[in-house]
Amino acid sequence: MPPRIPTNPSASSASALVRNSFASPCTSQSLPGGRAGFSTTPIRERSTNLRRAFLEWTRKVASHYRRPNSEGPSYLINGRPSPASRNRLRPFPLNRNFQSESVLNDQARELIWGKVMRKGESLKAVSAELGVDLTRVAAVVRLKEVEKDWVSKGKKLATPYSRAVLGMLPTKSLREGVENQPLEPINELHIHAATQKQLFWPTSESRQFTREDAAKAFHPKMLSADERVPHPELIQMEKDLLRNMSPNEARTRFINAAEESERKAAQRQMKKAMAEEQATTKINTPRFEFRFREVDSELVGKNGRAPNVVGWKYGMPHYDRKKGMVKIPTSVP
Amino acid sequence: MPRAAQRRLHVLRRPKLRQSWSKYNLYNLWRQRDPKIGNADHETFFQQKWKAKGLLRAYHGEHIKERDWERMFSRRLLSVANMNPRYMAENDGSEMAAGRGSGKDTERNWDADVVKPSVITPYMNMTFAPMERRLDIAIFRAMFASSARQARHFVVHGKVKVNGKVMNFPAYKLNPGDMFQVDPDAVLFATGAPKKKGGSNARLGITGSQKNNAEAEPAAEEEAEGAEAEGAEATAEASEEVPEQDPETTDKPEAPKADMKPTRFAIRKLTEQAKSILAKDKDVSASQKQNLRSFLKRAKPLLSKAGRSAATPADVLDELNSMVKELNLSGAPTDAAAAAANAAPAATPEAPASPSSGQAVASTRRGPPRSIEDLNEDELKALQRLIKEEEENPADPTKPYHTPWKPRDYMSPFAFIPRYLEVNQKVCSAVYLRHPVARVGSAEVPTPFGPSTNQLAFNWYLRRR
Amino acid sequence: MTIKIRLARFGRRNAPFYNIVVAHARTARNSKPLEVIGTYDPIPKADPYDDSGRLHKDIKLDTLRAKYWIGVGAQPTDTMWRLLSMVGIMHPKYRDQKPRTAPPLPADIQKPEAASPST
Repeated sequence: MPPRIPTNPSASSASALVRNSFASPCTSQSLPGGRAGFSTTPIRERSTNLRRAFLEWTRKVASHYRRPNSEGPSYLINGRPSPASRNRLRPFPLNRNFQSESVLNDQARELIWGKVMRKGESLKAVSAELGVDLTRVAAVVRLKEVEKDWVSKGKKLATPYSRAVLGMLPTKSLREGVENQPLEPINELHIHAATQKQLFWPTSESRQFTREDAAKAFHPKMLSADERVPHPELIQMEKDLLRNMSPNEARTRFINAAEESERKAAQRQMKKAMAEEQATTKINTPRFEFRFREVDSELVGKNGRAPNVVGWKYGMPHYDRKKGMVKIPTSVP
Repeated sequence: MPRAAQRRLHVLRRPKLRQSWSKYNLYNLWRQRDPKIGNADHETFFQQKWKAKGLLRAYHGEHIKERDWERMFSRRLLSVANMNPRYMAENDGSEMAAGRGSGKDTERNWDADVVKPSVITPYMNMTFAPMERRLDIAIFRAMFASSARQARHFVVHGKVKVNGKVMNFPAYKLNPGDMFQVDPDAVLFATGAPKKKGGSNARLGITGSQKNNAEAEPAAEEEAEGAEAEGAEATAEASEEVPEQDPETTDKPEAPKADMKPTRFAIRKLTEQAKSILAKDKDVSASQKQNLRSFLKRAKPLLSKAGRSAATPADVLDELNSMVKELNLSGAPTDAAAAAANAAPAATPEAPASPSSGQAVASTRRGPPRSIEDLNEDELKALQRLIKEEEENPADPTKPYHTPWKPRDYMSPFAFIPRYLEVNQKVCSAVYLRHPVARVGSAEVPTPFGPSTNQLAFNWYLRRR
Repeated sequence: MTIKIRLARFGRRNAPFYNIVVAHARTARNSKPLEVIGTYDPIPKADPYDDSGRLHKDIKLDTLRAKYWIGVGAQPTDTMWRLLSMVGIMHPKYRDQKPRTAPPLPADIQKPEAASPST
């Protein structure tokens, strides 16, 4: 934008506000190119009611929101400036179904990292103990690792930013060795699409129609809710407790079961990698490594058009460049 | 982007809510009242849907073409049910079927004193859930950018990595478990207060809203914030980075880049001050003037040395420090000496970490008559705290944002981080944990309107075209 | 007519991708072959989270079928000869070389110069 010739400093103070409003981008941006740099015509003094109302608001109401509140989050309260606690955590005044949820503070993240990386506790056990979602526990550890890596390399952390942002958000602190209020529900069941339909499934009245049966009714391969939740071990622990097992023993069994399930998951991954390794012959040359993967070229399906036939297919078009096809990466390994 | 698409983001007449932290947006959000779609008799269903989707699309990915969004839209709305382990242990599910329809159902007691309203799962608020998968919008949600458009800008300009690889497609759909990192400098620029008008030539990227904030500050609002002398202290970002690979990155390690700009700035500043002293001050003794002149003479080659890539900032600063000591202006502490003393310790990268180096700073700041022994413990602690703060949040005029960094105005009412993200602000990284879901009483998609408006928009996009 | 084991180019401009095919020698390159026995991706790629700068090429091959076709007299083209000689199906054509054996452990990958025989 060309430099603007400064307005007359001796202009009355009453018009200062108006002038300022004109210098705002709302009006200046609407004139592409703006005034020529050599023009000496005074800027037309004009202000709309809307703009005046806005400036009024900036002076009276917006001062609450301009700087971060030292006591924590400060969200909009429509019209009513009284500190109504019920919509304090509602960033959108018109949307009652969206709340600003608390995030873990730095000390809580450090605690989780210490439990997983230092003490070697299983993710599931940490999740159940602290009431933090399983995936969140893993993510916290992953991000903490990046942070520690940055520190060890002397890379600068965005500490002031972190402090400021966490000061604006509702935060959750966790303490070691104490019963913590959970951050979020940890045993949430994903509503499977197959379970969203209504079924007419006549059974005898005397039949014990359990969750297992319900799952089978939806789909023959569907697992019951007890197995699909993130923490099936917790259900087992509660069952143990109902069978009058001592809490300590139930807890130990839970921890062992959690470790076992994680070990099994790791083993599955390992096995997959091993099978892949077995089927691949790696030949090193000075420039590249050639990886020969053994395949079966005879698995072509009934009509020779099975989806996983080796190689590009003959006699059928590729739609990969068609309109509407995703042409950017869909995943980053 | 076509020229016609460059409309103003924030307007006062016929306001639209945007994914942005602008104060105009805050004002529009503040004065927004329930749109009351469908209350009037004469509105057809089509009109209601049209109006609702207009309101919502102005907020959700207004920079995304309608066609693209229509392809993204999904009628499958994700939700979760909280399964209480205790309940599941006690019951096997048959209790839900027992006696259904034969009198065992519990009816609601409408005559009770307090009838609790039944809480619904606001599925309809999930209409725009597929948008939240987009990389640019996730960056905005993680509070790494002040608007979705700015987030998009960051992605396009290569400031964002996904799983350690630079990802320059803003439309990349995050998968559960993806980690995205944004360049901390970009984040500090986006979320920090803008520079004063005078020194704001180095800008990272200017979005409309930022330009607004820089220019449209009413005179009445301008507070006296000039207390922090911006240019007085210069800092060398002498982060001697080892060109190692971080575990999350597969890219080639960056070459160690010595940022010479702050050093050069410090030298130039000192030289200017020395010149002005020579010109003005009559109190300076002849020998001191001589010293100053020789300082000026030697500062010039140093300045050019700082321009070369071979020199490290630490070297140059060491030399500068020794030169300032030789100046010996302690008899008549002038601006140049003070500035140099301030500039030097702040700029020395390894200085303030240990108490011993803290002493060095103290002695220079306090002036020669007072030594480190004169400080009591509280003072020492305060000094160390100050030094730590300075270390974490240095004043650096080369940065495109106000330094020392402070959050931009009107940021806190927009501050929230949805549950489907886990953010580590210190490394400006976040993990996309899962897709947003609805649960009883709440939906995770941040949307400015309630379920009734969202429902109309959902119905708009349901139609087959 | 001679039967060849050869490459048929698929993929896009600047993004080649080959099917390893068994076909009659005088048929067109991309015509329908007798059999597709594998694929060859000539674009070298790095492993994710690998910073050593070492690149690899992926080949899928049904070795049993390849051996069968060689056994009944199919003639590999030079390129295919080179690839087949790597897995020990053919003798190297141009250099007197033993078929290269696969290095068993990833420890060798760290020092590719030491692991691979000098060529």
